[in-house]
Amino acid sequence: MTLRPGLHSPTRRTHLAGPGVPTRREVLAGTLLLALAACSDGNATDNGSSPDDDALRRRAAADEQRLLAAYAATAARHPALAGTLAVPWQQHREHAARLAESPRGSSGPSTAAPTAPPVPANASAAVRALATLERSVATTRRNACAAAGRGLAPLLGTLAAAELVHADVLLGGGEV
Amino acid sequence: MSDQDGLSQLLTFEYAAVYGYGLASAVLATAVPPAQAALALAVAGLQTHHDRRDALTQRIVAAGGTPPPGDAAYRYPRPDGAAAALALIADIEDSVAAACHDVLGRLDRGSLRTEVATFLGNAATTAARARLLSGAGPARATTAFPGGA
Repeated sequence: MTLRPGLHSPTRRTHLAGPGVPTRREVLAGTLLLALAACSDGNATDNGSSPDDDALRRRAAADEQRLLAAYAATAARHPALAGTLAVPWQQHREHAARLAESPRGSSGPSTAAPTAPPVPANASAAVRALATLERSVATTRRNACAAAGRGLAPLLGTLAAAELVHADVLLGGGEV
Repeated sequence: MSDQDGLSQLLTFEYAAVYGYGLASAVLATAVPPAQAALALAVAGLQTHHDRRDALTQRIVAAGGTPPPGDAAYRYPRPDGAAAALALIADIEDSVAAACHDVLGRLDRGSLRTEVATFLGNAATTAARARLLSGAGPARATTAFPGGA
Protein backbone atom coordinates (compact mmCIF):
# COMPACT_ATOMS: atom_id res chain seq x y z
CA MET A 1 0.00 0.00 0.00
CA THR A 2 1.28 3.44 -0.84
CA LEU A 3 1.33 6.12 1.80
CA ARG A 4 -1.28 8.75 1.36
CA PRO A 5 0.13 12.04 2.63
CA GLY A 6 -3.37 13.45 3.06
CA LEU A 7 -3.96 11.06 5.95
CA HIS A 8 -1.13 12.45 7.99
CA SER A 9 -1.61 16.16 7.99
CA PRO A 10 -5.27 16.13 9.16
CA THR A 11 -4.51 13.84 12.09
CA ARG A 12 -1.66 16.08 13.15
CA ARG A 13 -4.04 18.97 13.15
CA THR A 14 -6.58 17.11 15.30
CA HIS A 15 -4.04 16.86 18.09
CA LEU A 16 -3.56 20.58 17.97
CA ALA A 17 -7.28 21.26 17.73
CA GLY A 18 -8.14 19.56 21.03
CA PRO A 19 -11.55 18.12 22.07
CA GLY A 20 -14.46 18.03 19.67
CA VAL A 21 -12.32 17.03 16.73
CA PRO A 22 -11.74 13.33 16.10
CA THR A 23 -8.40 12.15 17.37
CA ARG A 24 -6.13 9.91 15.42
CA ARG A 25 -7.30 7.03 17.62
CA GLU A 26 -10.96 7.73 16.88
CA VAL A 27 -10.28 7.96 13.18
CA LEU A 28 -8.50 4.61 13.35
CA ALA A 29 -11.37 3.10 15.32
CA GLY A 30 -13.81 4.34 12.70
CA THR A 31 -11.72 2.84 9.95
CA LEU A 32 -11.64 -0.44 11.84
CA LEU A 33 -15.43 -0.44 12.17
CA LEU A 34 -15.77 0.16 8.46
CA ALA A 35 -13.39 -2.71 7.78
CA LEU A 36 -15.40 -4.98 10.11
CA ALA A 37 -18.60 -3.96 8.37
CA ALA A 38 -17.02 -4.87 5.06
CA CYS A 39 -16.09 -8.27 6.48
CA SER A 40 -19.67 -8.87 7.64
CA ASP A 41 -20.88 -8.08 4.16
CA GLY A 42 -18.51 -10.72 2.90
CA ASN A 43 -19.94 -13.26 5.32
CA ALA A 44 -23.45 -12.40 4.34
CA THR A 45 -22.74 -13.59 0.82
CA ASP A 46 -20.80 -16.60 2.04
CA ASN A 47 -23.65 -18.90 1.16
CA GLY A 48 -23.46 -18.14 -2.49
CA SER A 49 -20.52 -18.18 -4.78
CA SER A 50 -18.22 -15.25 -5.27
CA PRO A 51 -15.71 -14.22 -7.89
CA ASP A 52 -13.14 -15.92 -5.65
CA ASP A 53 -15.19 -19.10 -5.82
CA ASP A 54 -15.24 -18.90 -9.59
CA ALA A 55 -11.44 -18.80 -9.55
CA LEU A 56 -11.23 -21.71 -7.09
CA ARG A 57 -13.67 -23.69 -9.18
CA ARG A 58 -11.74 -23.00 -12.38
CA ARG A 59 -8.53 -24.05 -10.65
CA ALA A 60 -10.17 -27.27 -9.47
CA ALA A 61 -11.53 -27.94 -12.96
CA ALA A 62 -8.09 -27.37 -14.49
CA ASP A 63 -6.57 -29.81 -11.96
CA GLU A 64 -9.26 -32.31 -12.89
CA GLN A 65 -8.30 -32.02 -16.55
CA ARG A 66 -4.68 -32.57 -15.57
CA LEU A 67 -5.63 -35.74 -13.74
CA LEU A 68 -7.72 -36.96 -16.69
CA ALA A 69 -4.80 -36.31 -19.04
CA ALA A 70 -2.45 -38.20 -16.73
CA TYR A 71 -4.81 -41.20 -16.60
CA ALA A 72 -5.18 -41.17 -20.39
CA ALA A 73 -1.43 -40.99 -20.92
CA THR A 74 -0.79 -43.76 -18.38
CA ALA A 75 -3.44 -46.01 -19.93
CA ALA A 76 -2.00 -45.41 -23.38
CA ARG A 77 1.51 -46.26 -22.26
CA HIS A 78 0.50 -49.25 -20.11
CA PRO A 79 -2.60 -50.97 -21.55
CA ALA A 80 -2.22 -53.73 -18.94
CA LEU A 81 -3.14 -51.21 -16.24
CA ALA A 82 -6.63 -50.67 -17.70
CA GLY A 83 -8.31 -52.57 -14.85
CA THR A 84 -6.39 -50.70 -12.15
CA LEU A 85 -7.14 -47.30 -13.62
CA ALA A 86 -10.77 -47.80 -14.62
CA VAL A 87 -12.61 -46.83 -11.42
CA PRO A 88 -10.60 -43.75 -10.38
CA TRP A 89 -10.57 -42.59 -14.00
CA GLN A 90 -14.36 -42.85 -14.24
CA GLN A 91 -14.74 -40.96 -10.98
CA HIS A 92 -12.55 -38.17 -12.32
CA ARG A 93 -14.89 -37.84 -15.28
CA GLU A 94 -17.73 -37.41 -12.77
CA HIS A 95 -15.69 -34.82 -10.88
CA ALA A 96 -14.98 -32.89 -14.06
CA ALA A 97 -18.68 -32.90 -14.95
CA ARG A 98 -19.62 -31.65 -11.47
CA LEU A 99 -17.03 -28.87 -11.57
CA ALA A 100 -18.24 -27.79 -15.00
CA GLU A 101 -21.67 -27.02 -13.50
CA SER A 102 -21.31 -23.38 -12.64
CA PRO A 103 -23.80 -22.11 -10.06
CA ARG A 104 -23.63 -18.61 -11.53
CA GLY A 105 -24.25 -19.67 -15.07
CA SER A 106 -20.95 -18.20 -16.13
CA SER A 107 -18.69 -19.92 -18.57
CA GLY A 108 -17.43 -23.35 -17.62
CA PRO A 109 -13.87 -24.33 -16.98
CA SER A 110 -11.08 -23.40 -19.29
CA THR A 111 -11.02 -25.78 -22.20
CA ALA A 112 -7.29 -25.47 -22.78
CA ALA A 113 -6.06 -29.04 -23.17
CA PRO A 114 -3.55 -29.83 -20.44
CA THR A 115 -0.31 -31.46 -21.37
CA ALA A 116 0.03 -34.92 -19.90
CA PRO A 117 3.05 -35.48 -17.70
CA PRO A 118 5.66 -37.97 -18.91
CA VAL A 119 4.68 -41.52 -17.97
CA PRO A 120 7.33 -43.76 -16.38
CA ALA A 121 8.24 -46.78 -18.49
CA ASN A 122 7.84 -49.08 -15.51
CA ALA A 123 4.17 -49.86 -14.82
CA SER A 124 4.36 -49.78 -11.05
CA ALA A 125 6.33 -46.53 -11.18
CA ALA A 126 3.60 -45.15 -13.45
CA VAL A 127 0.94 -46.09 -10.89
CA ARG A 128 2.96 -44.49 -8.10
CA ALA A 129 3.29 -41.32 -10.17
CA LEU A 130 -0.50 -41.18 -10.55
CA ALA A 131 -0.95 -41.68 -6.81
CA THR A 132 1.49 -38.84 -6.13
CA LEU A 133 -0.42 -36.55 -8.48
CA GLU A 134 -3.71 -37.51 -6.78
CA ARG A 135 -2.31 -36.64 -3.37
CA SER A 136 -0.86 -33.36 -4.55
CA VAL A 137 -4.21 -32.28 -6.01
CA ALA A 138 -5.94 -33.45 -2.82
CA THR A 139 -3.69 -31.16 -0.76
CA THR A 140 -4.42 -28.20 -3.02
CA ARG A 141 -8.16 -28.78 -2.68
CA ARG A 142 -8.06 -29.28 1.05
CA ASN A 143 -6.31 -25.94 1.40
CA ALA A 144 -8.71 -24.25 -1.02
CA CYS A 145 -11.52 -25.50 1.21
CA ALA A 146 -10.59 -22.94 3.88
CA ALA A 147 -11.10 -20.01 1.51
CA ALA A 148 -14.12 -21.16 -0.48
CA GLY A 149 -17.71 -20.06 0.00
CA ARG A 150 -20.09 -22.38 1.79
CA GLY A 151 -21.48 -23.69 -1.44
CA LEU A 152 -18.12 -24.78 -2.80
CA ALA A 153 -16.27 -25.89 0.36
CA PRO A 154 -18.07 -29.25 0.79
CA LEU A 155 -17.45 -30.14 -2.86
CA LEU A 156 -13.74 -29.33 -2.59
CA GLY A 157 -13.50 -31.39 0.62
CA THR A 158 -15.28 -34.31 -1.04
CA LEU A 159 -13.09 -34.20 -4.12
CA ALA A 160 -9.94 -34.05 -1.98
CA ALA A 161 -11.16 -37.11 -0.06
CA ALA A 162 -11.92 -38.98 -3.29
CA GLU A 163 -8.40 -38.33 -4.52
CA LEU A 164 -6.85 -39.63 -1.32
CA VAL A 165 -8.94 -42.78 -1.77
CA HIS A 166 -7.77 -43.09 -5.37
CA ALA A 167 -4.14 -42.85 -4.27
CA ASP A 168 -4.78 -45.47 -1.60
CA VAL A 169 -6.53 -47.85 -3.99
CA LEU A 170 -3.85 -47.39 -6.65
CA LEU A 171 -1.18 -48.25 -4.11
CA GLY A 172 -3.10 -51.27 -2.86
CA GLY A 173 -4.32 -49.72 0.39
CA GLY A 174 -0.95 -50.27 2.02
CA GLU A 175 -0.07 -46.70 2.89
CA VAL A 176 -1.98 -44.09 4.82
CA MET B 1 -22.01 -22.00 12.20
CA SER B 2 -19.30 -21.06 14.67
CA ASP B 3 -16.16 -23.14 14.99
CA GLN B 4 -17.41 -24.23 18.43
CA ASP B 5 -20.67 -25.51 16.94
CA GLY B 6 -18.75 -27.32 14.23
CA LEU B 7 -16.45 -28.96 16.77
CA SER B 8 -19.45 -30.00 18.87
CA GLN B 9 -21.25 -31.53 15.92
CA LEU B 10 -18.16 -33.51 14.94
CA LEU B 11 -17.71 -34.62 18.54
CA THR B 12 -21.14 -36.26 18.64
CA PHE B 13 -20.11 -38.42 15.68
CA GLU B 14 -16.81 -39.29 17.32
CA TYR B 15 -18.60 -40.66 20.41
CA ALA B 16 -20.62 -42.96 18.19
CA ALA B 17 -17.53 -43.93 16.19
CA VAL B 18 -15.59 -44.91 19.31
CA TYR B 19 -18.54 -47.00 20.50
CA GLY B 20 -18.98 -48.74 17.14
CA TYR B 21 -15.27 -49.35 16.68
CA GLY B 22 -15.22 -50.94 20.14
CA LEU B 23 -17.84 -53.45 19.00
CA ALA B 24 -16.05 -54.13 15.72
CA SER B 25 -12.66 -54.53 17.39
CA ALA B 26 -14.00 -56.97 19.95
CA VAL B 27 -15.53 -59.17 17.26
CA LEU B 28 -12.49 -59.02 15.01
CA ALA B 29 -10.11 -59.82 17.88
CA THR B 30 -11.79 -63.20 18.33
CA ALA B 31 -12.73 -63.90 14.72
CA VAL B 32 -12.29 -67.43 13.40
CA PRO B 33 -10.48 -67.70 11.08
CA PRO B 34 -8.27 -64.81 12.23
CA ALA B 35 -8.91 -61.52 10.45
CA GLN B 36 -5.58 -59.81 11.07
CA ALA B 37 -5.77 -57.07 8.45
CA ALA B 38 -9.33 -56.22 9.48
CA LEU B 39 -8.37 -56.18 13.16
CA ALA B 40 -5.43 -53.86 12.40
CA LEU B 41 -7.80 -51.53 10.55
CA ALA B 42 -10.24 -51.61 13.49
CA VAL B 43 -7.60 -51.00 16.14
CA ALA B 44 -6.07 -48.11 14.19
CA GLY B 45 -9.53 -46.63 13.60
CA LEU B 46 -10.48 -46.96 17.24
CA GLN B 47 -7.30 -45.11 18.21
CA THR B 48 -7.90 -42.38 15.62
CA HIS B 49 -11.45 -41.69 16.77
CA HIS B 50 -10.59 -42.00 20.45
CA ASP B 51 -7.81 -39.43 20.05
CA ARG B 52 -9.97 -37.14 17.96
CA ARG B 53 -12.81 -37.32 20.47
CA ASP B 54 -10.43 -36.24 23.24
CA ALA B 55 -8.84 -33.52 21.12
CA LEU B 56 -12.21 -32.07 20.12
CA THR B 57 -13.37 -32.12 23.75
CA GLN B 58 -10.26 -30.32 24.91
CA ARG B 59 -10.57 -27.67 22.23
CA ILE B 60 -14.20 -26.96 23.05
CA VAL B 61 -13.34 -26.61 26.75
CA ALA B 62 -10.23 -24.52 26.05
CA ALA B 63 -12.40 -22.08 24.08
CA GLY B 64 -14.77 -21.74 27.05
CA GLY B 65 -17.50 -24.02 25.72
CA THR B 66 -19.27 -27.07 27.10
CA PRO B 67 -18.81 -30.25 25.07
CA PRO B 68 -22.04 -32.09 24.25
CA PRO B 69 -22.32 -35.28 26.32
CA GLY B 70 -22.00 -38.67 24.71
CA ASP B 71 -24.66 -41.34 24.97
CA ALA B 72 -24.26 -44.52 27.00
CA ALA B 73 -24.90 -46.67 23.95
CA TYR B 74 -25.63 -46.34 20.25
CA ARG B 75 -27.92 -48.34 18.06
CA TYR B 76 -25.28 -50.31 16.27
CA PRO B 77 -26.07 -54.00 15.93
CA ARG B 78 -23.40 -56.20 17.45
CA PRO B 79 -21.55 -57.63 14.44
CA ASP B 80 -21.92 -61.41 14.14
CA GLY B 81 -18.65 -61.96 12.32
CA ALA B 82 -15.72 -60.40 10.51
CA ALA B 83 -17.74 -59.37 7.46
CA ALA B 84 -20.35 -57.62 9.61
CA ALA B 85 -17.61 -55.92 11.64
CA LEU B 86 -16.03 -54.54 8.46
CA ALA B 87 -19.44 -53.41 7.24
CA LEU B 88 -19.94 -51.63 10.56
CA ILE B 89 -16.59 -49.86 10.20
CA ALA B 90 -17.53 -48.75 6.69
CA ASP B 91 -20.89 -47.47 7.99
CA ILE B 92 -19.24 -45.56 10.83
CA GLU B 93 -16.77 -43.91 8.48
CA ASP B 94 -19.51 -43.09 5.99
CA SER B 95 -21.41 -41.30 8.72
CA VAL B 96 -18.31 -39.38 9.82
CA ALA B 97 -17.64 -38.42 6.19
CA ALA B 98 -21.21 -37.20 5.77
CA ALA B 99 -20.94 -35.20 9.01
CA CYS B 100 -17.71 -33.58 7.79
CA HIS B 101 -19.31 -32.75 4.46
CA ASP B 102 -22.26 -31.16 6.24
CA VAL B 103 -20.05 -29.16 8.61
CA LEU B 104 -17.90 -27.93 5.72
CA GLY B 105 -21.00 -26.36 4.22
CA ARG B 106 -21.83 -24.47 7.40
CA LEU B 107 -18.52 -23.39 8.92
CA ASP B 108 -17.24 -19.91 8.29
CA ARG B 109 -14.12 -19.63 6.20
CA GLY B 110 -10.99 -20.60 8.10
CA SER B 111 -8.44 -23.19 9.01
CA LEU B 112 -10.91 -25.46 10.81
CA ARG B 113 -12.30 -26.28 7.37
CA THR B 114 -8.91 -27.65 6.34
CA GLU B 115 -8.90 -29.91 9.39
CA VAL B 116 -12.43 -31.10 8.70
CA ALA B 117 -11.43 -31.85 5.11
CA THR B 118 -8.57 -33.94 6.51
CA PHE B 119 -11.06 -35.86 8.67
CA LEU B 120 -13.23 -36.39 5.59
CA GLY B 121 -10.28 -37.79 3.65
CA ASN B 122 -9.40 -40.12 6.49
CA ALA B 123 -12.98 -41.36 6.80
CA ALA B 124 -13.31 -41.96 3.05
CA THR B 125 -10.01 -43.84 2.92
CA THR B 126 -10.85 -46.06 5.89
CA ALA B 127 -14.35 -46.82 4.58
CA ALA B 128 -12.87 -47.85 1.23
CA ARG B 129 -10.28 -50.04 2.93
CA ALA B 130 -12.95 -51.76 5.02
CA ARG B 131 -14.96 -52.57 1.89
CA LEU B 132 -11.90 -53.73 -0.03
CA LEU B 133 -10.96 -55.99 2.89
CA SER B 134 -14.41 -57.53 2.84
CA GLY B 135 -13.90 -58.46 -0.80
CA ALA B 136 -15.62 -55.64 -2.67
CA GLY B 137 -13.97 -54.40 -5.85
CA PRO B 138 -12.95 -50.73 -6.22
CA ALA B 139 -16.20 -49.87 -8.01
CA ARG B 140 -18.25 -50.86 -4.96
CA ALA B 141 -15.66 -49.99 -2.33
CA THR B 142 -15.31 -46.36 -3.41
CA THR B 143 -17.57 -43.51 -4.40
CA ALA B 144 -16.92 -40.48 -6.56
CA PHE B 145 -18.21 -38.08 -3.88
CA PRO B 146 -17.37 -39.38 -0.39
CA GLY B 147 -19.62 -37.86 2.26
CA GLY B 148 -21.68 -36.05 -0.35
CA ALA B 149 -24.16 -36.84 -3.09
